[in-house]
Amino acid sequence: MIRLLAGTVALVAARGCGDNHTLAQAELTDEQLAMLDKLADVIIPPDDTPGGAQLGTRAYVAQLVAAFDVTGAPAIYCDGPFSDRNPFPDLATGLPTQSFPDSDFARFAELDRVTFESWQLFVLGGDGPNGTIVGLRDQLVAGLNAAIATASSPAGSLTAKQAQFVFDALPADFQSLLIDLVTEAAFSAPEYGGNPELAGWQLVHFEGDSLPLGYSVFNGLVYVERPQHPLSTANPGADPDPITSDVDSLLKTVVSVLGGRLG
Amino acid sequence: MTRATVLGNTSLAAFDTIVIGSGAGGGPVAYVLATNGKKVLVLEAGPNHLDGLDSPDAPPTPRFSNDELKIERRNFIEVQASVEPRTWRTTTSDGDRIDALTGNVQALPKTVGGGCLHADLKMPRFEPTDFQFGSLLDVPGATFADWPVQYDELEPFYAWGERLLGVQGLAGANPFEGPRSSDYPMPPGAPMYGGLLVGAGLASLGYTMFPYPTAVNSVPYAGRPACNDCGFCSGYPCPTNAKGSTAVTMLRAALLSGNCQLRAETRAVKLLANGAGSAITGVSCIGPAGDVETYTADTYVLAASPIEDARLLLLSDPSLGNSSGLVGRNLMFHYQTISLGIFPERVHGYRGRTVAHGFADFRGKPNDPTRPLGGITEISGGGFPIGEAAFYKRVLNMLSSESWNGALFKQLMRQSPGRDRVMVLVIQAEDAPQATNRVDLDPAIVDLDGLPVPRVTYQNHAFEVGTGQFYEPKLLDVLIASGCKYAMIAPRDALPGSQHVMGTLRGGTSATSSVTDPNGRFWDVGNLFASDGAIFPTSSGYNPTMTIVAMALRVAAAMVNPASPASVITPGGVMAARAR
Repeated sequence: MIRLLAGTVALVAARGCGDNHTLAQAELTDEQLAMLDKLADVIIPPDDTPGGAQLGTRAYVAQLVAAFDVTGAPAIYCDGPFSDRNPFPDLATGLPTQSFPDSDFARFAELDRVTFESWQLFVLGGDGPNGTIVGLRDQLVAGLNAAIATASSPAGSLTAKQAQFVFDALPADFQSLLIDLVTEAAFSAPEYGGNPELAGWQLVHFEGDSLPLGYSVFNGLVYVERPQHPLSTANPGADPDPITSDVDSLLKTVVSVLGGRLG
Repeated sequence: MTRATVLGNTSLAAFDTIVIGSGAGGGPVAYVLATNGKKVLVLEAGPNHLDGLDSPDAPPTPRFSNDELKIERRNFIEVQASVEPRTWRTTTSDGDRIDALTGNVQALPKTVGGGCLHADLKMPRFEPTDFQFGSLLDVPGATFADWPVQYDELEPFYAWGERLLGVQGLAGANPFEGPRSSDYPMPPGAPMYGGLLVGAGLASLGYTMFPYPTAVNSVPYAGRPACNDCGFCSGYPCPTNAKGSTAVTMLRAALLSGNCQLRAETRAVKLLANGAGSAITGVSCIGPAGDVETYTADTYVLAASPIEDARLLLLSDPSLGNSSGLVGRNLMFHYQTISLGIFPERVHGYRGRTVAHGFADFRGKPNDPTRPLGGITEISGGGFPIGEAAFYKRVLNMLSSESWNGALFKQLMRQSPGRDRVMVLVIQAEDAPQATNRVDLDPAIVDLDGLPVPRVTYQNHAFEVGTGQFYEPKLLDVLIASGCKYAMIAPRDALPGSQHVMGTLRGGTSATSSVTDPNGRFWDVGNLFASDGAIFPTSSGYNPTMTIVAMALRVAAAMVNPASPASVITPGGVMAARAR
């Protein structure tokens, strides 16, 4: 077994961990990691915007499977209440100030007895109260090895079409796990390892955590909203990604299947 | 920072009352008793994430955050179902359980503050007739019963609870609400764009939208800030203390009184009783490190949620408090009918309080076939991208399981019909109580401490299934009239969607037909009370938390002054009580 890329580990350590962490590397081979990248790109294909691999699946998975390889609090829950992405509001105008909080997301919250046991079982596996639980690490190794065995060539050289074939041949449970991991990586707070430079949130036009700024400020008399991010009125400007014919067709199918109605 | 497990007056060693559970049922009891000079110990199974909850200097610093992964996917305040599962079956004909449904079965958050923390604290009162369905309804197979306390008697406690929590709303805006002795303590907050669009649709159909009563500060109140509509509200504990949960209001005041101690991560596992089972003599617990601890007091209050209350009794002694045979029975959830309306434009429902408005036209009337008894309807915004991705995964798998369509999935995520363009209408409908819907102990499945887990046996009655079918097309009418391009009813899952859990220790006026008396005291056990949703005889069609709080205040007031519970009510809010 070889270690994850050093750069990935450094990225994880810099983003999500306090000084008391000594992140060990996940025990995935280069080939398994390359396959993880390929499958992530099946789930969210790259085009002129990032795909699943570029949205940080590898780093996210690395942080999660190494969550208990630390000396401090396991890397499961970023602490709160605030990240340092948004400033405090001006209480008179409701607009952003230049004053930002320290990031509480930069450290992890301690786990109580029950939560520690639960997450250790999830990640590492072992004897649960009602039988043996296969941990995430082992599920990934087994699933990625199955994918490698299915592939016609080394993961790094698979075309998108070949990777799709590999993905579709995987057991449904492992497909589901991968979709969950890739989307968690892409759309969770970057302190968990994925969503690099907020690329995942930008991809889907999501504004992320909003505190301590929020979307309205009661200034003592009235509510003041942020003009570019209104609460009670329509967004200004054009829709960044209007509904396409593909999505329209899908939604009409869903409405038909569920016995809904079209406006 | 190390998380505190003992809060409040840590030097207290002798107690008048032990309260098991620190949520909407436990916090008010601790508050009333502690501020009336009683020494109170609160036992909470979950951890405390409100740093400084017992500090007089400022409101606590929550460890909660705008973090979807932490709160919704990784269950920061919810139960960890892999080591604390529950089991489920619809009837005994399913066998011991439906194995595929073992896991999180209607569990409420396990943390200091309980279910009051994850809620967006929608706080409507019940209607006066909701307390009278034993007299008003005759539904075969259902066990509708009158409440032992009627609206008029509860009204002062509703008003007191609204003051203590800080509830925003507009008196009279819901045309079906009961009489009020006072206005809401604060006006409605900022509206949401999507809600206003639905409001126009409702008005065109003759329905009446109103600002949803919520325990969320619309103005600074009792030392806590106004809500700034961060958006992470329903399902999310509040990072700013703008939500007036019982934790940051009443429980905090109790802890600051000098008369209250709270032990977090301390799980009650057995009530110790005298030989006759007529009095509780102690409570055995598993503490933060897994050690067994025993605490004693003169009186004991169950407020750990209806399912856990019943489980604790059954773990202790199946006959304890159970001469009626009703412990664990008449379990209820609200019957949710969920409709989704997708607008052509982005309505950014992830900004704001999740639910700012609602309407009660689908609550219905007893015995009126043209308006069957449904429930209040919440007008809700969409969620967040990880949940949105899971929704599309389900849709794509439903339509084609052959091959994952990543390109279409990406288009869905970017165009966001399921988050940025959606408004959701949810009816919280009356659930007919049934004696066969119950909690008992699973015969084989255990938790991490080796204790049998709760088993839920539950299936819906034709009563609520019929009302859901009645109102489904009307929900679609509203969505289309509001300008939605696509409108649909969400398929029902095998488990109820509602986390409104009620019943199991039914209150009543007779020891043969109820478990607890009108003051929440067990008929069979003189020093044991219940104060959460467990004592509800029926579910109403309104969110239950305000009524849980009002009933808990009344239970505690009756413990202080059994002859005149209302005399215990104080005129001010929490800060006034502290000053006193």
